[in-house]
Amino acid sequence: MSRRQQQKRETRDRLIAAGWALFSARGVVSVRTLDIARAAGVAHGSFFVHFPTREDLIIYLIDRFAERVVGAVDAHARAGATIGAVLRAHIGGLREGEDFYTWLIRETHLLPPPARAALTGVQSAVAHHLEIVLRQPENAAQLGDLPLPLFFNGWLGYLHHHLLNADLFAPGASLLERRGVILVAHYLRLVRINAR
Amino acid sequence: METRCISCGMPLRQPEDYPLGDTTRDYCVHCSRPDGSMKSYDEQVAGFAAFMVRTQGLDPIAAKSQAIEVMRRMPAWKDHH
Repeated sequence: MSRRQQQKRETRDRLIAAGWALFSARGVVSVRTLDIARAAGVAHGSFFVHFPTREDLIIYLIDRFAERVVGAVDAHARAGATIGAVLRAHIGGLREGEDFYTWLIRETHLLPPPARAALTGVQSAVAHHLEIVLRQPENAAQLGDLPLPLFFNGWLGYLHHHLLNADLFAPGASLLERRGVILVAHYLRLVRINAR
Repeated sequence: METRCISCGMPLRQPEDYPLGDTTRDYCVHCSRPDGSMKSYDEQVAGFAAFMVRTQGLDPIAAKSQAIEVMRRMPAWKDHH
């Protein structure tokens, strides 16, 4: 790789890292391309060389985040896991992007449509893997006639309530780190599934 | 960078991810018809929307609109009008 190509690659990596850090700290809506360029230590114009619009970087970050979340859940979907294990894997996948994800759900209606759709894509992928796990006979027996949308939306609702109020449930700490395991246990108790 | 289905973006890792186990294809089993060919745009929108209704309880019209928006970014559908 030539020196120039290497520099270009480094600039791109710095913009990605700066975008991730700023969106995670301040949310998607209030962060401008100028802020990201400054945090990355590059000229403002350089931003648009790598990402034609601000939305392109947002969507890129959501997609990379989605890969990690779905990857975490997928590992359990194939291995014949318990329902509890898959929900804990979901939390594990969300953990490293906890702040970013919390802003996405907080600002859902303010996201540009393609970004919103990318987020919907993440939830759909998680639902897909959850369905595979829940269809396994041992798990299906526990689920009984509880409809999947009820299980899934209930889980997201319970999870999101805690994330959106993390200052009340885990002030100054990671909500998922501190409460992740208990959230899974309590949710399974709520839907009357054996929490293993 | 792993291979992804050009229609829905799902990672293609094992033979069971591919239509009829054919690992030479560039799309996944969920985006294919029973005969192994790739679903058309309309079939894909309908299938994806139905999936979201079934698994997440989305309203059918909203699900269709989300499906279209997600597919807009997929290699197979980027240039679809």
